[in-house]
This record gives sequence, structure tokens and C-alpha cells, in this order.
Amino acid sequence: MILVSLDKASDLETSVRKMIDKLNITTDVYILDDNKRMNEWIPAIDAEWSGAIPATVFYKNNKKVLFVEGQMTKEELKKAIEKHKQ
Amino acid sequence: MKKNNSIFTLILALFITACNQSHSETNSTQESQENLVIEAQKAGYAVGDEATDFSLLNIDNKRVSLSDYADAKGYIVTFTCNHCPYAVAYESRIMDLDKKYTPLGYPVIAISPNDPVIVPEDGMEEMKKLAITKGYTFPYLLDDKQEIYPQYGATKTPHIFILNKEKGKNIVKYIGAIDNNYADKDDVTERYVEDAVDALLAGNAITTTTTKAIGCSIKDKRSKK
Repeated sequence: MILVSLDKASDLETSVRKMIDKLNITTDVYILDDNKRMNEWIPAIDAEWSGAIPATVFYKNNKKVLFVEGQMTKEELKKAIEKHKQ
Repeated sequence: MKKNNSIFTLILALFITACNQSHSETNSTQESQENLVIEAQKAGYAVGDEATDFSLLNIDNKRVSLSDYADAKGYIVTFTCNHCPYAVAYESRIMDLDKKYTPLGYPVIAISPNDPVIVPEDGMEEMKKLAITKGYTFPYLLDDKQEIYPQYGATKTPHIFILNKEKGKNIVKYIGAIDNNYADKDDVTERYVEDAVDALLAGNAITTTTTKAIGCSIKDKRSKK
């Protein structure tokens, strides 16, 4: 899993770091701070994505298999992973 | 990237830290999120559609409808809220839009779409406080039944719908972001909303009629979007 924060890069050491520590996040976290080209990279990630976050993209063998806009419950997340595993 | 994650499935999760404060995980027996999202996105307006009027409670305890503005040429309907960092970043720019375009016939009508049960910061009392502190010159309405934002197809805050009055109907002319840089208003190079309203005022076609930008998903107890 890769987490992509859409916070400002200037918030990395403050709010982003705080969240990583608070939630004990051990996976890689990136900051996507390419503000001025949102209108280009949002549709590039998924054509259906309106830009609302959170959003989750599932890839299998380098191919996108599922895109979800909005919050997912733990159960929904598990289900999505199980469905696309193997 | 950790090796074991990359073998068959890679999950890319996009989020903002401040939005997670109000995150409440709820159990749901609904069908797969995939279907929910597709349905949600199919609903709502496209450019050229007629937009519905509404009667929503304002921060001054009075109800506001589009039809109250008899002299308006159109409206800058802005779905926004108190808590979302992207909405906060745009507060002063929304005020500027209202100051610039109300005299020209395109007032800002702000609507908060979130369920205050999920996001207490977006409740009416908190909205009143923010509007007074900031000196909002436009109505700041609560979509208390959460019936208006789905009709428009708003999915996030901020989310702008520019309407133009044509033969007594309010026609959607633009859907999307205010500009192309939420983080730094001094480094904006595309002013989508201003360009669109200026085009309407000049009687020209709008060059960019839809844009996408990051915003906080609208918090709705029914769909927990």
C-alpha cells in the first residue's frame, strides 16, 4: 500500500508527520503537491474521479482493477482486496 | 514500496490529514462501493442542464431561494463548508468572487452540504460563527436534508456550479474549481470561475466549462461518501 497525502508540502513536518506518528503508519507516504496541474492528473488517475478525497485505487499486475471515491470501511477494503487477490 | 505489497495488489490511497479528523468509520451493508460511486457520479448536472431552485436556511435564520434574486443574471452556486482545508483555503477567494460579481448580476450562493452529525464543525451554529468572523457578504446555507447537493451532483467542497438565467430557467454553464491553485492564491494561473462569468457577461462562449480539483468528499450519513 502506498499512501498519498494531498496536503501542502509545507505541512509535511507538521500535520502529515503528526498523522503518521499518531496512526503508527509504517507504509510509504508520499506528498502529491502538484497543485496547479490537478485538472490534468486527477483524470489521469481515474476518469471517474471528481477529485473528492479520500480516494483509493487498486492495481493488480500493474493494471488498475478498481477505483473508489469516498471513504471505505475496513470490511469494504478487505472485500475489495480479497476479490482481486490471485 | 514494500516487496510483499507489490506482488499482486497495490493500493494507492489518496487523502489529506486534516480531513481525517472528522473521519468516522461506519459499518454498512450496502452493495459494493464501486457501484455506489458510479451511481453517485451519474447523478447530478452536466453543463447545459437546468438547475433546480431550493429553499434553504441561511445563517440569519431566513430561507433563501435563487428566485429571491429577481435581478440576478445568474448565480455562482458554491458548495463549501467550514471544516475542509480546501474550503478554508478558498474562503477569501469566495468572498472576492461575491464582491466582484454580485454588482454585475452573478451573486455567490454558498451551500454547506455536510451532515453536521458526522462533522459537528459544519453545523449551523459553527457556520454562523465563521460567517460573522469572516464577514461573509453572501448567503451561507445549510443543505439540512442533504437533498440539494445530490441533485446538483456536488461531490466535494469546494465545488462550484455557475448558473445563467435563460428564458426563466437556471442553466448550468460551468462545473468545477475556482482556480488552479488552492494552496497559493498569488500563484494562480487559471481563474476558471472568473473566466466563465466574464465570458457570460461578455456574451461569449465559456472556454473551459468543467474542471477537476481536489476537495473533501461530502459527508452524508446515507452513503458515507
